[in-house]
Amino acid sequence: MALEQELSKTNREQVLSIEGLRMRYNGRYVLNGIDLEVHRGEMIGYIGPNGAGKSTTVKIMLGLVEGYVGNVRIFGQDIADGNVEYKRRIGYVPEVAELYEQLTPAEYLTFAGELYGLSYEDADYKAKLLMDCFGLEKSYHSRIASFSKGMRQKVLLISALLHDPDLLFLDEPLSGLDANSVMVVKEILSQLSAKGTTIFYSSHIMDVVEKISSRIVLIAEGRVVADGTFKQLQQQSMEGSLEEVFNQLTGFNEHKAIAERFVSIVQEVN
Amino acid sequence: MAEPSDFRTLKILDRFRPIIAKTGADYDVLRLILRVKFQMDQRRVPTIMSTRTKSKESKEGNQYVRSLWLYALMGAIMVPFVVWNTGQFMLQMGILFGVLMFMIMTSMISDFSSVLLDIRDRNIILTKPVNARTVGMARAIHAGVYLVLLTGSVTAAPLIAGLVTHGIGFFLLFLFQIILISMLILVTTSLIYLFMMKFLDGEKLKDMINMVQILLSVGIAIGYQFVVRSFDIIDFKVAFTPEWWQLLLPPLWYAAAYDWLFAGRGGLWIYTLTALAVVVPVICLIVYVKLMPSFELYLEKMAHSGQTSSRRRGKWDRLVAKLFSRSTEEQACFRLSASMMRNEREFKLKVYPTLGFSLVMPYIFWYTALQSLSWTEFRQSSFMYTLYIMLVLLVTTVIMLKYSGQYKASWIFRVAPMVNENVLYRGALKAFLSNIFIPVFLLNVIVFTWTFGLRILPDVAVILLTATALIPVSGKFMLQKPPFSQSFSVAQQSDGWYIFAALPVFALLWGAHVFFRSFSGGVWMYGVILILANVLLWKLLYRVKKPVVKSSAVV
Repeated sequence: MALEQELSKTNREQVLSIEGLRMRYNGRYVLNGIDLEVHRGEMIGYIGPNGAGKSTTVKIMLGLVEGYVGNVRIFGQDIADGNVEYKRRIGYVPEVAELYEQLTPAEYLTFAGELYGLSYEDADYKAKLLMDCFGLEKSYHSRIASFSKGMRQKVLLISALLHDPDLLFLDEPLSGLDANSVMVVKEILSQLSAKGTTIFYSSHIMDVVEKISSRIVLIAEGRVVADGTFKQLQQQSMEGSLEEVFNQLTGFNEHKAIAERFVSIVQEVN
Repeated sequence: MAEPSDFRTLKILDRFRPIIAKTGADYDVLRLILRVKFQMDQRRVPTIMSTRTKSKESKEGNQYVRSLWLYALMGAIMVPFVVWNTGQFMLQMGILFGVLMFMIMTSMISDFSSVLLDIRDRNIILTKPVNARTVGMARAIHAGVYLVLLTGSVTAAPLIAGLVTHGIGFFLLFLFQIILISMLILVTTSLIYLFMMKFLDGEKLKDMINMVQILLSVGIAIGYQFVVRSFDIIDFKVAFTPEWWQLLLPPLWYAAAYDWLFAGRGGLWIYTLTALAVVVPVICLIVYVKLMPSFELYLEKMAHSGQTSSRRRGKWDRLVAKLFSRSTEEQACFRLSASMMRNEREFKLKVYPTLGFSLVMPYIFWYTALQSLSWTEFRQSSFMYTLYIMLVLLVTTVIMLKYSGQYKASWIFRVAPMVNENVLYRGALKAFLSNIFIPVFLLNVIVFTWTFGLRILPDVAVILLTATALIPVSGKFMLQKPPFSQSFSVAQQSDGWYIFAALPVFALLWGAHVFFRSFSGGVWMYGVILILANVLLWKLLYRVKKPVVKSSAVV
C-alpha cells in the first residue's frame, strides 16, 4: 500500500516546489529554510503553532510577500520572475473573511471570476449555481455586509473555486460553517482532490486535518518538523491522535497546568 | 439582474486607454476593478445597520458626489481673488492657490487615505492573476477621479470668474494649472505614504501615517497663513521681493506664471518658479509610476503587525478618572474614552486637526489686529476674548465623539449590565474635557497670560467655566448616539452646520462676559453664576439614577 503510494507519487506531476525558503521580518527569521515538494492531487494538511510561519509561506506562494530568500516554483514557474500568470490556476481562501462587503455575491463573484479570466456570463452562471448548492440562492442579490459568518465563508469558498483552480490554498476554510455545511465542504474537497486538484489545507482543528489530509506537513519555528502521512507521523512520535502528535512535536505538554491556573483565576474574583 | 450598468467615468476613461496601457497596466482588468470600486462607493451606506433601516440612509447614490455642492460653495470664496485686479498676480493668485491646495490636500488626506491604503485589495485582488502595477494604477485613478470631482467643484466658480474678467487665455492657464496641482497633490501624498511604508512597519507605521496625516492637515492650515505673510499687505504696497524660501511654496510656483504672462513681469526668478510648477509634478508622476508595484508590496506591512511592545499606561487615566467621576462604572467609561481618543487612529485623524487648528485660530486674529496696533497697545487690549474661538473645538469634537473606526465593538456597552446609559455619555464627555480640551486650552492660556498679563486670569477662568458648562449642553444636542458607536461612514457633512449654528451662541456668551465685566465685581458674579450653571447642567442633563433595588433582586 505504502509502496503503491510512493510509486504513484513519483509518477505524478510536480505542482509546487519550495527550496531553502527563508524570510526575515524585523530582523527575526520567520522562515528558516523550508523545503517542500507537492504533487498533483495531494491534499496537504499544513499545520503548526501560531506564528510558526504557515501563513507567511502561503502569502509568499501567492506573491503577496516579497523579499524572501530561496526558490519557489509553482507549476514549474519561478514565481519571482514577475509573471503573475501562475495565479490563474490558484484558488485562495484567506483566514480572515475579507470581502468587499458593500457588494452582493452576484457582483463580488463575477468580479472575482473576471479577474481570473472568466467571462461575465460564465462567472455569473456558475456562481449562481454554486450559491444554489449552498442554499444561498435567495441571497445572491443581497449585500454581503448583511451576511452571517458562515454565509460569508461560503461566498469566499465559491470565489476560490469559481475558475476551477488546480491548486487551492485554504486557510481555516470551515470556520463559521454549520455542521451540515462542514460535511458538504469536506466532501467537495475530497472529490476535488480525487480529480486532481492539489489542496493546501491549513487549520488549527486537528481532527479535521487528520481525517482529510493525504499528507501532513507540520512546521514550527519556520522549519518543517514533520512531513508524511498521518500514519507515518503516528509511528514517528508514538502518539495516538494528530492533536497529540502536534503537542509532542511542538514540545507542548502543559495544557492541564495552564487550564488549572486559568480556572482558578477566573473563580478567584467571585 | 442584467450586466452591471457602466459608469460615465469609465466611459470617459476608455478614451485614455492607450496612455494607461503604456504604463504597463492591463486596461481591461483595471476597468473591472474600478467598476467594482465605484459600485461600492455608491453604497458607502453601512448596511450593517440594516436591521434598523432608516429612510434617510436608504438613499442610493454616491454620498461623496452629493456633498460636492458644499465644496463648490467654498470655492465661491475664492472668486474675489480672481476678480480683484491689483496687477499683482503673485499676491492674489498666490493666496488663491494656497487656499485651493489647502482644501484639496486636507480633503485628500482625510477622505482618500483609505482609498490609497486599502489593504483589502491585497487579499482579494493580488491573489489573482493581476499584476501589481494594474492594481496600483486602479488605485491612483480611483483616488484621481474623486480628486478631479473635488477640484472641479471647488474651482468652478473661480474658473468662471477668471474667464469673465481676464479672458480665455487666463482661463486656459488656470485650468492647466489646476490639473497640474491635482496631479502634484495626488502623487506627493502617495509618495509620502510610500516612503513611510518603506522604513516602518506594522502598527508603528499606521501610527506614523496617522500622525503625518494630522500634522499635514495642521501644517497646511498654518502654511497657508504663511503665503499671506510673505507679502507686505499694509496699504496695498504689494511688493514682491524674491526670497529663497519662496521656492518651497508651491502656491507661488503657480502664481508666478500669471505675473509673467499677464503682468508682463519677467526675470529669472519668475521663470524658475513657473518652471517648477510644471517640472515638479511631472517628475513626481514619473517616479510614482515607477514605484507603483513596490507600493502594493509595502502595503503588506500594513497588514502585518509586529511584536508590539507593551506600553504600560493608564495610571494617569485612573487618577484623573477618579478625580472626575465617582461611580466605578463612569470611571471605566472615562478610561475607555480616554484611551480611544488617544489611540483610535480614525478618530484622531478626524478630530486632532481641528484641535491643532483651534489652537492656532486665536493668533490669526491677533495677526490681523497687530497690523494696526502696536505690541504695547495690543497687550492692553481686550483681545484675550479671542480665547472664545477655542469653543469651536468643543463643538466639533463633541459631535465626533459618537464615531469610531471600531464602532462594532460597542456591543460591549449593551451586553454589560449597565443601569444607565448616561454614565457612558458622562464618561466620554469628561474624558474629552480633561484629556483634550483642558490641555489644549491651558497651552493657549500660557501664551495669553504671558501676553496680556495676570489681569486676564479671572476672565480665563470664566471662559473655561463657560466651556465646561457647554459640554453637557452640546452633548445633549449633538451626541445623540452612544460614544464610539457609529461608523465614520455615516458621518454627515451636515455636521458642519452645527458649528455655524453654534457661532451666534458663542457671540452671545462673549456678550454676557463683556456685560458682566462692565461693572466692578461683575466677573466674579458671572463666575459664580457659571459654577452654578455647571453643577446644574451636568447634574440635570446627564442624570444618573440610583439603581432601584427591588426586594426580589436582593442577593
